Amino acid sequence: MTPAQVLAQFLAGCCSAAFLVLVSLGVTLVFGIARVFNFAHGGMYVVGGYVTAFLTSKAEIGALPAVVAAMLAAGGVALIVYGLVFWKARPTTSGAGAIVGSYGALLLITELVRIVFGSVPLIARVPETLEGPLPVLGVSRMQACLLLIAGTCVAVTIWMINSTTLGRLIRAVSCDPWLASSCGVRRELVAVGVFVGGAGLASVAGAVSSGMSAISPSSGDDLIVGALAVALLGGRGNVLGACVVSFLLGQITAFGVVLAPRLASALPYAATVLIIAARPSGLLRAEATSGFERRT
Amino acid sequence: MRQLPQVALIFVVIFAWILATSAASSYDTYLLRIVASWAIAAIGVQLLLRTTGDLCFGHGAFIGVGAYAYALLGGATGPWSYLLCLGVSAAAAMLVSVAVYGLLWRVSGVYFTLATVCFAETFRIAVSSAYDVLGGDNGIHGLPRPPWVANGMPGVIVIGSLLLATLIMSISIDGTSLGRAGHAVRQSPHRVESLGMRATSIRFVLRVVSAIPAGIAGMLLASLEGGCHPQLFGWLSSGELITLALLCGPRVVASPVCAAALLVSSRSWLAGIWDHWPLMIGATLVIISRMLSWPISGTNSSTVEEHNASN
Repeated sequence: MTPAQVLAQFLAGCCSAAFLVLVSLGVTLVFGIARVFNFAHGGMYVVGGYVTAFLTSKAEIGALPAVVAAMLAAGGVALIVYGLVFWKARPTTSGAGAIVGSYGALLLITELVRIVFGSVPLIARVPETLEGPLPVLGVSRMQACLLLIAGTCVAVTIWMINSTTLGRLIRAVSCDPWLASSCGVRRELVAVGVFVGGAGLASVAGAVSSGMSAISPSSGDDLIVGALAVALLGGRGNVLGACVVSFLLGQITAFGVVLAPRLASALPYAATVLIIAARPSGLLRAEATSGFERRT
Repeated sequence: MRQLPQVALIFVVIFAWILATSAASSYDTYLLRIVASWAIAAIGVQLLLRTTGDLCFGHGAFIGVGAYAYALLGGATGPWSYLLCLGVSAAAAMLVSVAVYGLLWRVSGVYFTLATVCFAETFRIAVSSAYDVLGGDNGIHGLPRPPWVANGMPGVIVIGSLLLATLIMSISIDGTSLGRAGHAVRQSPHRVESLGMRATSIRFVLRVVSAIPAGIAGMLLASLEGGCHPQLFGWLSSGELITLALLCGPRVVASPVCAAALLVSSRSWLAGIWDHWPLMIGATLVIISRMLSWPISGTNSSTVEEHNASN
């Protein structure tokens, strides 16, 4: 590989990582609070993508209002899913029950999307300012936009967790839900907030993705596995850890396309299995971003 | 012996099944065999969930291994070659499970679940991309369907016997020292370790045992459908197995049989009139999730245990 090819693959890996970060931020926060897989998160991504693609291409609505509508739609769906699967679930029932319930919710959302929008993949209409490549680095404007959005979302999430009252509540519930409850923190409300916020982030990822390539109802099935891998390997509730793991898996995918084209999409999964085998409790420690454990 | 009423019920169901098969149409008997095949695989998933508490999204991969082992052998036409294929498929699933679970020797809880999702997807993509040997995305089709498996009474007896044997194996493991140790590992691996037993070894053995029925089921499905495809390996296929294992509760050994009968027959019925039958499965899972009180290690349940221990 020439240096130019290496740089191109590195940038492609960064774009993959940015995309993965956007999807996995919500999963990371939900896993930090509820300690369960939320398969339904893949459904929020699909809802976001379809709403954006439908509104921009069929209803001729601008990109920004369409993304806002997508976030609202995904937030609404997340609220319903939380109510059906997680609301007032006793802590002892949130083992198999929550995983099975969120998996069922993913199936439900996928089929509902199929019923509402049809099975045909949709692609969003991109604003003219985001069409074409950038004059430097050789990435498209859309990819640059994705990097910018992902960076902003990560920065805002870290700031929110470290510097706001909501962030302190999230850290408290994540560290010790029982102690937080006994101190008067309404655990369920915090969890609902995180769930809906995470769904909003997933819908943004879906919206951006639908502008880059066609989105289909089953897109969330494949994506959620990568997002869960990021959430777990990065450490429970650890946003920076999620960024590091996303970067790693993004680069594996990008360079895999060159080194083993046929197996490129399998490499991140295989890498995840190997990492878990080597480090059975994840690559990074839990909640490093919160600093809660260090300060106390 | 607490499972005795369930065993009696299963015997009655299988007897009724054999009687129904002799009178039913060939499509109905085909459906009954599909039910039995999925039930066999789900019994393995349930055994693991019931004993060690491991939620495995990788059993679909073992179904795929069994199915492709049968396909690579070129299928079978006679009873003896069929039995040979059965043995090879079970052995192939066992060998793959030894390799995979050997790699995940120390892993448990949600990390185990994630690793199983990932290895299932790795297998699916690897098989999908192997066009030369495994047929790629299209899979392998045109395998001979042994007429005595697809239509006749001997096939019913073979598949029914396999289902019964798997059920008896699953029930009897509960009463063995291995099964009891598995239950103990689910409740508290630390206490098991302090008693001198190795929780990792107990988990490993039960994981491998649970994979064998999936391999057998894969071979049965390939022989009934005359082919196999990479989607069998995927984690969504394993998700269906988990649905079957949990639909009537993880403690109920007969759950996979009843759930497979319910879901396969209703899917077959709904698929003819409505394209969106997965909606029904999703709704069912959401409903039963509210009733499930079965902890898996590494989730909130273990946190409860830690919390109680700290007090």
